[in-house]
Amino acid sequence: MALTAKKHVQHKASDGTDWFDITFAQHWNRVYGIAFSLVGDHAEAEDLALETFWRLYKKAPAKLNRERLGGWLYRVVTNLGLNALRSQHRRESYEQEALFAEQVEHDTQNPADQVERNQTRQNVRTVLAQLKSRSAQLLVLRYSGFSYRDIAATLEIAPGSVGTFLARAEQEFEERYQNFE
Amino acid sequence: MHIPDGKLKAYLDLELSPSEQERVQDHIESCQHCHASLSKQAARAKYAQSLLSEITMQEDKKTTSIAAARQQLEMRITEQEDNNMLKNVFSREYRLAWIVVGIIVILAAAIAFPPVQAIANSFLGLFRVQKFTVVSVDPSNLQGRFESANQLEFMFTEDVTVDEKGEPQEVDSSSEASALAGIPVRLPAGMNSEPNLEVMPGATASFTVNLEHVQALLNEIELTEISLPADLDGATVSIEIPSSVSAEYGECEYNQQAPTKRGHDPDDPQLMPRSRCSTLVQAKSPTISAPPGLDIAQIGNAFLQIMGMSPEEADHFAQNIDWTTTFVIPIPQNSTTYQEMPVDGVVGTLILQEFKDQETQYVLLWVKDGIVYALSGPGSASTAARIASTLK
Repeated sequence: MALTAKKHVQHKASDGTDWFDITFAQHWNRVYGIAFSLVGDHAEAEDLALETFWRLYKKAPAKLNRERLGGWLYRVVTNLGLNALRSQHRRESYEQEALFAEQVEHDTQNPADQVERNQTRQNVRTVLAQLKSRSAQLLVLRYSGFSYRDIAATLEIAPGSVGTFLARAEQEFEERYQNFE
Repeated sequence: MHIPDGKLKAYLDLELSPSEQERVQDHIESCQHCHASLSKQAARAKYAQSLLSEITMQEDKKTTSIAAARQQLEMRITEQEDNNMLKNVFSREYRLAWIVVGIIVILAAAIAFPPVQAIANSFLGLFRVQKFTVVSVDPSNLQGRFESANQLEFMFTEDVTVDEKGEPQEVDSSSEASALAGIPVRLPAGMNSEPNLEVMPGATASFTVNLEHVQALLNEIELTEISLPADLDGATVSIEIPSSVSAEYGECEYNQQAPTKRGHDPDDPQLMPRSRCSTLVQAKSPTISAPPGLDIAQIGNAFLQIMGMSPEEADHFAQNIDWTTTFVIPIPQNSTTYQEMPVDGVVGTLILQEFKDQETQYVLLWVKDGIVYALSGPGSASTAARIASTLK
């Protein structure tokens, strides 16, 4: 426990610009997007994205390198998203399967391929929730369009090892998914 | 030599430098094994992409505009800050986990977080802590009072300054800890594991009393009947917290958050993850200096009333305490008990908290030769006595 006095978190730079606002505007859509990819629900994704920025707000900015803020945000949101996904699956797997079966039977509004897509998404999320955290994070970031450099910065790994981890993660994903189906 | 999978993957993703990209290409053309690996990886990547893009590129994704989201965040910030205020005042200092880290840290934490403690403690005008006394309070009483106390934060930021003397530092041996902290560090023998030793540098906190601010606070929390001596105004009370050494045995979890469940107070001690470790914290007694001539009993009386005592009780209690040498620890009435017990050749104070599943955790505090010791962990009075008896 640090003997630190609670100081007001200073969010304004010396020239008066509010870096927090700038960061928020810059990253909100993408942070929300990642949360949505993981949990697939608007309200929950919004909640997770807000939580991510709230954590940033609480953090003393001195402890964060401004250039690495983006990376920090994406690391936090992927973690939060995966945690949510895991607890969601623990909580709801039975209910959801039941619900889904019901949907397939009674849903005349949705065309069949839409129902199938929803099932695929559900399966992908279930498999992600079962992967090692880092593998799941890598896959989500990569297929959200992150470059190796951005992934390395986000997950704090060496840029040269992103390929190795990613190859492994894809293999893990493929094996699990095929088992799952 | 074949190209490792990671590099092939980077090649596929066009993430190598142009010259590397070319080098790998040349190699693959002449290496059947690498060519096969590449095809396999390409197929795998295609498979992963087709599935993962289902979730990452979902078109029917609803979004919230940046402005609307920013506004929601602002609401959350306001809400949480209010909450934190409550937590600081009502629960952190009443939670055993706090006391667990030792009285030194309590003092520090008092200054660092719950402003009410900072004020109350500095009012005590302790000169040097030589013993502890426990006062049992009803925290539910406090809660209503501090619910809307904006003055605390204000007073704290306006009137209190904290000067820290460095960052906590992990050390490898008790001799190293002794040298750093400037005290002869003692450790219990016969523990099951080696301790994690950490030296926490000291700090000085000064509180310059602004009677107007204090009175505004007292009004706000509806304790108008408390009167403070006029000569308190402008007085500076400073608390000197010496470096402390903590030794942890086992798995400590102070920093863990309780699992968040809707509808539950995350600070409810019954829900806190309990620490499985035993901890001994030691430091020179903290000192507090206050200007001479202050009526310390009167201030102590105010402190006790803030903590929820009736004026009569506070009066009685305050008269029977030597406020210059006694550190008064408020503990919640429910589920917490305390007693005096012999330890290390002196009389110590033992605080026990019982959890709903009947497990107990203890904190044993004592002062010997000018050093404050705080021993804590899972167990009972006898656990504490046994560990304390092996100190070397």
